Amino acid sequence: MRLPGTFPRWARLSLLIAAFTALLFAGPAWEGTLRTLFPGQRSVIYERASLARLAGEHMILTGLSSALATLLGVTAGIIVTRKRGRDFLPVVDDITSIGQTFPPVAVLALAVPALGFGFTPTIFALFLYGLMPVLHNTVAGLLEIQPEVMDAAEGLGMRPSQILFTVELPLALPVIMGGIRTSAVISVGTATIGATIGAGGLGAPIISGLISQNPAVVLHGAVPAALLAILVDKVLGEAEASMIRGR
Amino acid sequence: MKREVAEKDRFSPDRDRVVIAGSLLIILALTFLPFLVVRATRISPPAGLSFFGAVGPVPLFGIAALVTASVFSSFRKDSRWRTATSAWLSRMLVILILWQAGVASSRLLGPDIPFARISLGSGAWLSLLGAFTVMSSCRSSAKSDRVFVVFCWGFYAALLLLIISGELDSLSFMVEYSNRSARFWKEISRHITLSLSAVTLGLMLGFPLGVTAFRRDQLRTVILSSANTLQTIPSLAMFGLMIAPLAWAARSFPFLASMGVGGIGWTPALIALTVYSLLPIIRNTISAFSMIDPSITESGLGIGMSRGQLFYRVELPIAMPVILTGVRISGVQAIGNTAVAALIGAGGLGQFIFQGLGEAAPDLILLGAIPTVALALAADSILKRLTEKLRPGGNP
Repeated sequence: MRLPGTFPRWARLSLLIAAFTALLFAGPAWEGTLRTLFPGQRSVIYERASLARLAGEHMILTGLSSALATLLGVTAGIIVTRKRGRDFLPVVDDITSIGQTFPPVAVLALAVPALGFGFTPTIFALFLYGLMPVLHNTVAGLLEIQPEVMDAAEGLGMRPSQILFTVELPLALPVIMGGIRTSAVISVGTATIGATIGAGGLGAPIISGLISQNPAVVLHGAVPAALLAILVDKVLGEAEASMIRGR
Repeated sequence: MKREVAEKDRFSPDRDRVVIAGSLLIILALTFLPFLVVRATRISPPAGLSFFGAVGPVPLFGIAALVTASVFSSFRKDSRWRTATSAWLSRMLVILILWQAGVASSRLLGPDIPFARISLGSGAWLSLLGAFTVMSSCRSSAKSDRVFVVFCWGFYAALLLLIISGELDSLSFMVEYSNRSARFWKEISRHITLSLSAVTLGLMLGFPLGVTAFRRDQLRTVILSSANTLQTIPSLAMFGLMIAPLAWAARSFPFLASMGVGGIGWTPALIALTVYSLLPIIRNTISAFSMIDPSITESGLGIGMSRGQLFYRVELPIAMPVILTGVRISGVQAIGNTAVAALIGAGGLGQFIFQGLGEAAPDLILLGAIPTVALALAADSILKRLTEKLRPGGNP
């Protein structure tokens, strides 16, 4: 649905990505702007690491944990919707609905007594929390398929694995993608708080600015963190929309 | 709808594999993983203690008997019987595991290690997860059973009694609580106040926005997509973005500052939390009104109802459950985000979490995190019940 006079979606998206990347490497521009906005502050930018490096850490944290969550969530979702795994469906349902009620920050905080500080416990917490929406949507997507469709596939003499890969998964894909999107966006947000347990990322300037009561440094982290989350949401939303269109 | 169909033709075996898996998890966790973790001081490195080493032979025998009974009962043909026993056994197991952890820790906490901290180890947590697995295997089939409901309340009462009786007082979590019980209650009430006000404000703003978006197609996309974008922004970043403008406002307008408005504290927290609660409420309001069958509104108009009457007496009651679902999602989210707001000086349970993270004191982290989780779960189940009650045709 393209309105006359607007950019096509992909062009808008790549423009957004380009703008975000430019922002990461525009050190002097940041310094100039923040200095004008906060003339009273002695230092206005986070000096311990470059913005590009922090964004890189942030993307590795969320990318890795989302990939793991997707892999395991989709697999587990497939298992509990098979005949042999159906017994475990109510348990998985319970766990995902209760798990999604857990506040992400609590999951992150609880990872510390269990696993300690740093990068690995953060990834683990993000993965564990990110698993819930993926698993939930995979199960929902697979169960939503009309029984007639499955009957037809069976009637054609397809093997169960064939039905799974050529009928069920393609039909459930948009719903699964929705789960991955939710999971990834939450993950970007939670990774920001990961800075409090020493995971780095774009939360680091925010925390450091809060501790030193320096609102300029807080903005130096908060603006790119917000933009990254919006960007991830838009890109994955676009992927989801194209899957719905391609259905 | 479709889920129910799927449940019905569920492959029903002659044994309950979920119960077996849960029981196995309990056995493995208690055999191979540390049941209690002992630290000589609040922040010294932990040392694990096995279940047998912690509790001795008698409770070990008790738990083994319960687990064996639950495995055996899972092989019974009669599914009603199976459900009842596993519901009963799993709850007994939860109480027994917690109680034994408390008893063992008060025995361990002697005069030779006065500052020791004893907390639940991975074995205890995983065995509780195993008990939960057994518990949820029978949940869907037992929910409607009256005896089961009474039993559930009995379980909560036993849990409460266990906490009040002081049997758990030697566990580090409770030690941390008794060291700061006054502050704990202050922070938890602050937490509840902050999240409740945010959701109330979110409802007051979000409901009219939702109704507007439902009635005007041109506004719908704008309202929904801006609420969606705001929701996407990480909570910490949102709090961070609020600081500078609010600090500026407080500096420029002294009367705002005298009201307590400032770059940090409750103001940025309340604004950000309110903004977050908008999207679920707006989205659910729109879908609640879109779901109303036009023939219902037409017949309302047909019997001579005015627009206002129609809205308040027909449309709103029908839309209520779906709107409340939005309120529930907002509420659960607000409770979680309020914990983050402690970072900008808004108080609440997050205080304990972040103080604990700063001091590397795991017990203090738990003192903040566990009640936050409990609050979120409680809000979720209370609002779920309320939604069920308000559903047209549901039991009043």
